[in-house]
Amino acid sequence: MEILQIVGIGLIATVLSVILRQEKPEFALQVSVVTGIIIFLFVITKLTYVVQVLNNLAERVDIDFIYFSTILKVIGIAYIAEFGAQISKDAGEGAIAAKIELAGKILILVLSIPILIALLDLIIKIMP
Amino acid sequence: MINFLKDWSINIAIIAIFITILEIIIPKGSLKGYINVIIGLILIIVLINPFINLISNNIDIEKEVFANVNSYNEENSVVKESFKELQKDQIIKTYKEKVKKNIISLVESESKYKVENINITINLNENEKDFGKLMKLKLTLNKHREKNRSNIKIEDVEVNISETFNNKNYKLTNDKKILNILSDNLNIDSNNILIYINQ
Repeated sequence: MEILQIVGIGLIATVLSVILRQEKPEFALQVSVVTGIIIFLFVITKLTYVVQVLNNLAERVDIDFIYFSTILKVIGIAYIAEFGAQISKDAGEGAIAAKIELAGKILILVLSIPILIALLDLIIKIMP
Repeated sequence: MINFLKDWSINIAIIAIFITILEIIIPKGSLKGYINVIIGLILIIVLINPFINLISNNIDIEKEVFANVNSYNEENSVVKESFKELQKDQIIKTYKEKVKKNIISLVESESKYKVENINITINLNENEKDFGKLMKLKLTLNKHREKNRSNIKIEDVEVNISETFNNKNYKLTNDKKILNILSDNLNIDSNNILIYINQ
């Protein structure tokens, strides 16, 4: 029953954060950061199972492993960037959050460029 | 033909499930659109891959992607070039040390001599087939093994071996036993082994 634990941690942290926000807002932010990390660590082990299933599926199709690793990297970047951006937003730093998202977008773009260019080359080569 | 269609439809079905799972686990936010683009590209590749194989056997999309990834990495690796050189030097140095230690233990276990000094020449031309091969070996042995056991000295390798030992105490030896052992174990011609013995 991990969901009970996670919801429990989340509710306690929420109450703490609400109480602290009136007295000391900077501690409220730290509580929310730590809670986020704890919940993330809770579910990251479950995510390995999903990744394994995806791996099996990828092996069954003819697609190469490089695409699969690219997708996984992209998802990882997206998760981490999203996580950091949310925390920054919670702290009221919308500008930093936007920069984190920008960095995530650029990194994802860099990862996707080899596939894009390869596809383009391929299409040009197929042309008679 | 029917097999081809079967494989193709199975591929499409699996990639559809794959993408559905991905859609669930990707975080919702502004980055979702970017991920969808990549997923779309991969879907296109999976869809047209069998046709490419059908039309021409020369095109290999995986090779293309790898080539693109490599070209990107090469652009990045200009800075790493100096590290590579450093690493190569270290590898050669370690290799020489290992060879020397090997020779010392070989000589000392097979004969009654003690190694005083050792000088090796190694083929450092990377392009040649026998890169790393031992070309020449110059050993100085001491007859009195028990004496000054502690101060074994390993000198740096010199490529130039034209210098000769002028010291009268040292005598070139033709000890077949040591020569054979060394040439057998190190894969080096016995003419290229010079052994001096400290009388």
